Amino acid sequence: MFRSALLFLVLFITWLALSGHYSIFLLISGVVCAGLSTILTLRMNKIDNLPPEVNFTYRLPLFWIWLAKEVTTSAISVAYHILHPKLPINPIIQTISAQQKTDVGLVTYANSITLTPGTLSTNVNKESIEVHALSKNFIESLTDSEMNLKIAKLEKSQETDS
Amino acid sequence: MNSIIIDIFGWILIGSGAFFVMTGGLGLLRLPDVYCRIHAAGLTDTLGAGLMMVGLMLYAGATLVTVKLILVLVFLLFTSPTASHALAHAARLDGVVPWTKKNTKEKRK
Repeated sequence: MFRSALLFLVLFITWLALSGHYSIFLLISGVVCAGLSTILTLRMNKIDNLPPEVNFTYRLPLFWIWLAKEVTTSAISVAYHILHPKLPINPIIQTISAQQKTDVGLVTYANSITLTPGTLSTNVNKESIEVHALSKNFIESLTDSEMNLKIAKLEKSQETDS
Repeated sequence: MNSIIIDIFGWILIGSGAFFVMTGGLGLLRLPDVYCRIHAAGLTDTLGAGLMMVGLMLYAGATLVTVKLILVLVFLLFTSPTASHALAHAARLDGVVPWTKKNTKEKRK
């Protein structure tokens, strides 16, 4: 019950933020739409039995800031590789280990790898991820496993919260 | 005075975002195979779009437009790596052999 009330509230706030008009007719339509969406979501949860399990902790924004820094440095490096007249690339495919235990953690890790320019996850297994990199120095930042450890920590802090 | 400084910062961010989008487009043409081209497209998705969005946020100020821009940015950052991964995974399953320096030398012979 608390969960569906929260969902309704979030949906209605999204409606308010996106509409920007606050006449009574539009407010009532917002309530109706948010209510309908909540009811439909509840029905869907009954079918697939998978309530959305996303827990935000204080670590997540910190991780995003760190990821933004990583993305910026490697994007500049990729831009250098593209603009260099000789195109100094040497693509390799390498399998790196993943310590995450839940599906959400694994997806976060694979998506973070892909989001960082220069590295691209091509195949995700239970304990390893196959990564295509534009050249060797891009994959070196992954094999020292800083990102791996950070996401594993993020995952653990979520588990203890829930 | 203050608004002029914010405008200048906004335009610097939009300009550098445009630079990364251009570079990504150039890379899409220059790089040799599917996987490498996805890297170039990723450059456009992340830093190109990101810098432009932040620049536009500065330009819009503290309004509802900024809220919408933040939402667009968040959705973009969640969906674009998923799409890239789907593309790369499909190419891998379909047996596209990744380009390496050795491959081209063998082809030239």
